[in-house]
Amino acid sequence: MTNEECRESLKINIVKDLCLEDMEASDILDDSPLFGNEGVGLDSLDAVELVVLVEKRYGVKIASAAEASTIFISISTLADYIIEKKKA
Amino acid sequence: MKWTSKSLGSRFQHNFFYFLIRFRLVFLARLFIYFIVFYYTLIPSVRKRSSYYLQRRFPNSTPFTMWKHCYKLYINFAFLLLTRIIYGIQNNCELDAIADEKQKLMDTLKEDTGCIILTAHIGAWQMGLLELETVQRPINIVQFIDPGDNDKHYFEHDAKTRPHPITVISSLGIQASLEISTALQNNEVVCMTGDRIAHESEKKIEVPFLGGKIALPLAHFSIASIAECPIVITFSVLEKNKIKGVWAERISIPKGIHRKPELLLPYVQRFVVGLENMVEHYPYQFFNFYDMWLENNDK
Repeated sequence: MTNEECRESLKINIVKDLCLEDMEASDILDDSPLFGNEGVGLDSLDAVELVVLVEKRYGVKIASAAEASTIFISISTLADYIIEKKKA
Repeated sequence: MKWTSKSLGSRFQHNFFYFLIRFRLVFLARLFIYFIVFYYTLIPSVRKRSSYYLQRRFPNSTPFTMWKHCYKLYINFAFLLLTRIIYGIQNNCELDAIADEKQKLMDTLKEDTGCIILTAHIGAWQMGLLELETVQRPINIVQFIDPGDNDKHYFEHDAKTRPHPITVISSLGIQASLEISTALQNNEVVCMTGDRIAHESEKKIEVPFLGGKIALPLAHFSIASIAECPIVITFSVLEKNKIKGVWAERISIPKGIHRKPELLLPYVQRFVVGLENMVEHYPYQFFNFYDMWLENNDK
């Protein structure tokens, strides 16, 4: 999977698994913040879902919350992490 | 009156008790406790803190019997704190559990998944976690701590080296969610108290308790649904200076209902059944010293 494919797949899976009713995958920009009022606007429960999604869909376990804080910034940072872990 | 994690005692008062225990003067510490608690129960604002609960638990009390209830409640709380210090510093504590309850807890902890231990500010809630130390898994304790709080967990007195760390998760919101979810994903144990709302922004649900309505946090149940991990509701008490596990119930919450309070309600109610049972049998071990009831909060 290329980085671009991973980013597109993440957008589709986030909209689907997190049931983001008012959002299409195409609405999510690669560098939009995932959490907070701007960007995707995910909340604290979505954070839990995202950890589960990354493991179930991509087979990647997040080692710690400190690591999660650095990779759950945007679709780009998350895709970079998944690709890197897949290579390892 | 809102909830705060801040202790009534100053840093000096805490250190005084730590000093007594370090020098094995437990009897002296116990003696001081009787006087200190007596003094505190003479202060109207301190009595007020426990009155919200006591007036519901003992509705027909006279002022004098209400004072006695208050004294018994605070003395139990003080002895619990002392037991915690003794264990923390001397590594000395008797631990017991009803066999069936212990088995339910241990069986769940053997499963190859993360696990949420849900307890309340009842009895020996922190000391009850000692049981978990026999389990070969990292333990996380979710606890909101107010700035300037002097209280220490038993494991913060560092009397013992543990094969697995005990981590306190004191953050809120998204950071707390990440800490909890990554811990569960790594098959760790996450301990939470389910009887207090740590922050106004938390999602909550209203349930009847002791003749009124209280709001309880929903997040624990939602997280269990998302992470597909079991919850063990468990309570332990302090009886004759001994910690005793008296209640354990395992619940599994179906996936996909984490944003549906109406579907989570039956699981929250099972927690409330546990609370009510504990309050009925151990009325002087319910340690929520603030107004939990929604109808009184605006007064």
